[in-house]
Amino acid sequence: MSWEKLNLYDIVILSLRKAMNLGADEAEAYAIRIKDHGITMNNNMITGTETHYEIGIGLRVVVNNKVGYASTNNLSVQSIEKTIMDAISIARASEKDPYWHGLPLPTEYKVPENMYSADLARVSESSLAEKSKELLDLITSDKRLVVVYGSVSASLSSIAIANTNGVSNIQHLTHSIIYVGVVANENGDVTPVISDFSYSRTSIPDVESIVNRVKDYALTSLHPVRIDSMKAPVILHPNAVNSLLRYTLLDAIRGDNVVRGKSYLTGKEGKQVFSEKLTITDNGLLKNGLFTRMFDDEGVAMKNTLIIEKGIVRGFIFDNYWALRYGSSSTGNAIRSSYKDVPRIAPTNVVIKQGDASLDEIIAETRRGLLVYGLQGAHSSNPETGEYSVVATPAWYIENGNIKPVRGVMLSGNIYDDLSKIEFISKEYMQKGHVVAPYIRLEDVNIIVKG
Amino acid sequence: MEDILHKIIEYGLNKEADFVDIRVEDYTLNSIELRDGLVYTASSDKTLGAAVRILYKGSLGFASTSKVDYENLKIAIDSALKFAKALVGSSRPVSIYKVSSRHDVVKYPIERDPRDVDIGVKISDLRELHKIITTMSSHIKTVTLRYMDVTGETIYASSEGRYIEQYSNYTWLYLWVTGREANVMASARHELGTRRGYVLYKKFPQEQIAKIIVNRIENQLKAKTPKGGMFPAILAPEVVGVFTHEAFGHLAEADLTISGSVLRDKLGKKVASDLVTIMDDPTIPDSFGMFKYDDEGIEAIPVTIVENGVLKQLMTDRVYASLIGTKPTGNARAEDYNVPPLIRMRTTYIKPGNMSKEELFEDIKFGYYIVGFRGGQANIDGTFQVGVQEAYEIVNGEIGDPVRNMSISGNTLDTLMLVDGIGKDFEIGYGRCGKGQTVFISDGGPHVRVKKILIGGRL
Repeated sequence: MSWEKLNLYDIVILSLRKAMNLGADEAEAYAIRIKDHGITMNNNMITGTETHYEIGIGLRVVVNNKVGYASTNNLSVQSIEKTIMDAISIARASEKDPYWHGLPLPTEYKVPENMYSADLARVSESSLAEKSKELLDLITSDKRLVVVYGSVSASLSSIAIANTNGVSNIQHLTHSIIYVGVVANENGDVTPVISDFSYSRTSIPDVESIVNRVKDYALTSLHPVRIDSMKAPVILHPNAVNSLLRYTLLDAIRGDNVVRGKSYLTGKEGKQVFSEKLTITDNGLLKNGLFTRMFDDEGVAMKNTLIIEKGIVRGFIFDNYWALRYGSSSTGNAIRSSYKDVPRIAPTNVVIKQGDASLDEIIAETRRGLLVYGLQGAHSSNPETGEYSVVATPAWYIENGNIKPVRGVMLSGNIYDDLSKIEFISKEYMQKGHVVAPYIRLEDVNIIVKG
Repeated sequence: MEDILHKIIEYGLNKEADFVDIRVEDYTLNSIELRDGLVYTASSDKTLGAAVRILYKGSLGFASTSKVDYENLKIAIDSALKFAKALVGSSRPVSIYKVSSRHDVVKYPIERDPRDVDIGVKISDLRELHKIITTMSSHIKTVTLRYMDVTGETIYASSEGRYIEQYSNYTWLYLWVTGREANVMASARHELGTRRGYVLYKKFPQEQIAKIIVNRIENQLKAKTPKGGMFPAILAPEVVGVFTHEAFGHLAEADLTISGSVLRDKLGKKVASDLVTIMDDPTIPDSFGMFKYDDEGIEAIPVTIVENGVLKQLMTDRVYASLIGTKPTGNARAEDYNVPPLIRMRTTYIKPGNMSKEELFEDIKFGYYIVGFRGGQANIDGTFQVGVQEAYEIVNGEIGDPVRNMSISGNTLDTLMLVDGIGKDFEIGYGRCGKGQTVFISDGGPHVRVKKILIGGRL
């Protein structure tokens, strides 16, 4: 029989049955189909178009409490059978994990708003082409600006999952992303690349607003002034908040790191660790969120999980395995980087509760300090300790209400200490990567400039 | 397969394409992750897929498919063409550098095919490594070991009559260890690799790997935060590698150079101290950057990016070679069949000089010896940052106390101008590089002395 014509949901159900027939005690089948269209730009020109059709299936099987995993992008019945047998022989050759307590049980699903749009799923090549042309035209109409790289893309994915505990479902997700990096040149001065992205789950994002943002950041970064090294407050743009937290706090809230004692937050449940101004949730159901969906990559319902409440540690994000090791239940944070990989704990939409000050008010409250849009090298921070040592780029120096660009400025400190003494969080916010972030002012950061 | 690919190319050419190429990948990937001595994942993947590119009136289309047969490749050609047509005339035309026809089959030497090694053996070898690490120090808290081998074949065919088959392996090991003593935490990482199959521990004995990572943990536990500011520094090969790759190499990738990197318009000009020669080399045996043909079927040749301080050559692919009027260097690499190739580095290094380690150190009254990195990143304006996980003070020419939470930064060209000593030793390392897509790379060099470099630390 050929399964090629079947839909993904039927394929995962039939694969489960096969796995049981071939000798698995428990099994889970995960299948994904992605259709992705995009246009890439470099150096003020369109350099290519891309169409991806990706399909794949991953089988997790359990034999005598030992787990094996195998995957393939060939969804013929023979290939899936072979893949199941591979997974079973890996499980047999592997070792028992005393903490393995089975695959997830069924949960009740809620359908979030705006995770799929039929129009975006069918978006035409020519509408992507028009948006790309508009993007290039709007930016290059200012001769000082160069589009270093850019892309406009739209993606549709369907994910089906089933396990032998009775979990089974399929979901369809869409999103479209515009990504652009520009530099500004004027009288021999060149800015660093300033990049930004916008996304939408239901249509191609508006080009004009992203263009206005990068233009503004790039042009105001021209002709920097020199400053001295100092300890001073630093206002992080949501983009910089995302970079810094992604490699520190977002690792610390992961349940596996907490259980292993690898997280800064291990043993701090219920304790006041951060400033009272800080409240953080992980919301997989957030309306319009970039990572919003109905269920995670092991079929558990997405939910809104309280992590930090007024500075007090209230919870962590979990998949099924680590939740059971910890003694709680999955928060719907099992994510696969691809069908080739087992699910791992990852954040969805991490929402930092907005504050009550406007950005302008925070700037006015900052007699002397920095406003930082991007951080270079944030990935080299130490998630276990919170130590960071990064380059702020682009960045602006604030002094008595004047704002001027600066370059080659390093920031160093400890983000966990910084988060314990936050004074200002803005009411403006936006989603950058996994973090829905406001502007946050950190106090007394080491600002180092070559002298 | 060769027949089908020829027919598909024919099909594309009949639709008025100026150029068609196809890349087929067929490989097996095995991976294991051991967390604190328990098997966290053990998995195997088989992938067969193909990518087609088609150039139509100056517009370049790309499409991928996981079904490598005549019907589905035809569909891929049609989708790539349809999208390319929608873009005709919308910006400056793209052209592709064309080369002569060629038929070749390349088999890189594999001592022990990882596909023939039982997964149980790979697990018990990792378990052994775990045991050595945890018995070496009582401060070790968590140990994450990730192992991966990728073995298989790529086929490249083009409308120029190129048909190239390459068989190869990448075997990779990544360690992430954390330690604690009282309230002090430490975290260290290390990465290793080979192209010769399941011979990792023959090349890097487990004892030796464990020593490197445990030493990093122990040092951090007793380390102090460095002073912030400009100081003389000696960079060890691992840091020279990441600096050469991240801080300099990316600036010399032609796509980034002509988009405005600080190297634009600098060919033939001085960009570094006379002592500095920088290569991107596809011929270093057993490196992650070694191959005969790149993912555009182009012969990979060594690129002398900088020779005695002067910028000589950029790294290119077919598109950028054509755009800037030079030859492709074989730097086009794709993460997998799902994505088109981009200009990527291979094995990037600074050429060794003639100083001994002692000579490099002896003149430094106070500075830093920077041994291991945590990560690095550069902006095309030439601002770089390299996070450091292993470093020491240098006091009166001697290696002193360890320091922690340090990073180095500055302007790449300023820093290269300040190089005033190059060692005669040479070492390369193994890593991955992300530029939207992730590929395996190598980098390295000798010990290098810099007159002064910006250290991010306390004030």
